[in-house]
Amino acid sequence: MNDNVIDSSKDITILELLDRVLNKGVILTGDIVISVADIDLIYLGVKLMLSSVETMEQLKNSNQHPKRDE
Amino acid sequence: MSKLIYAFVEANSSPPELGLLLKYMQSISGTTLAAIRVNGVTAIVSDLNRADLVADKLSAIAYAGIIEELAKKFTVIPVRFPSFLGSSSEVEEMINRNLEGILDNFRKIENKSEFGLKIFCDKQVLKETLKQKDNETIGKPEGSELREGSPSVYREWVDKKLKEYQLEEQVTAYVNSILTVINESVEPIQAGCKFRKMVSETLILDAIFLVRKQQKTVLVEMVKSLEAQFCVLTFVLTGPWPAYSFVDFTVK
Repeated sequence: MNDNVIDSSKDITILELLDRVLNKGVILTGDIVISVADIDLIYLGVKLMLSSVETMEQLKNSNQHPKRDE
Repeated sequence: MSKLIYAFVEANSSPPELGLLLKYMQSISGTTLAAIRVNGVTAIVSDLNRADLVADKLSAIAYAGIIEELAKKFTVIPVRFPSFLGSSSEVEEMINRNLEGILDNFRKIENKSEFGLKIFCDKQVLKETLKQKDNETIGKPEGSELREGSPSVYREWVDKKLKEYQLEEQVTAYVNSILTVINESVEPIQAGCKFRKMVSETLILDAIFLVRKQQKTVLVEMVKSLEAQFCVLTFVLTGPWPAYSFVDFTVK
């Protein structure tokens, strides 16, 4: 792990942030105003990032073993 | 004009400082932020018509950014993006109706931050590691000695399935052992904890902790030590976040 463990992955941090602001916190019922299409857009973004999270181990390995200059 | 509500802030905590902070921050639509104070609770709002909201990822991130700035200085109850009420008086009425729940949650999360801990693992690598560690047990499944005799396709298939099953059980036991270590390590500093295990093939633990602000360094050091202990795994710690996951009351 890097010395700076906080925010060690930008993608994960954004995903975590969106997960919190869209799915957690206090709900003021009856005030969901974004259209279905827009919600889908936001959640699509989250899902895309979720799939990118799954490649994190590969990214980490490639960082640990940088390619040699040809 | 409608009010977009970002968060509830403890009004008793330095209102002049809050005023200054709001003066230099902008709402997600570029307008000024305002404070509506009722009985010790302040709602942070901005003027925005519902139809004018650009509900995209950038707005959500900007919205979260405002909550985060507030949380650096105050005890904050985040409101889910996007939440509107029709006017200032509706906001005041809503606070009055929910005063008890809001104050209870302030007490619960005061001086605390939320941290997320995700533990990733390549299941195949983990299986290989476990295989190497316990090769004798895995190499000779229980009961295989009872099926001595001429080899058959059926027996090979049964042995293979048995090995796979035992390996899965070992993975589960390994994850549970990590959970036990984490629980024991975090117990002295956490004020709240939620977790899900084996969320996906790669995400074996998704945990959220509520930790006193001054204990942040202890948590960071603890996670570093855990990663050194479990080198097959990747630990991702995020935070400090406002206590999104630990506010629990339903607005009336």
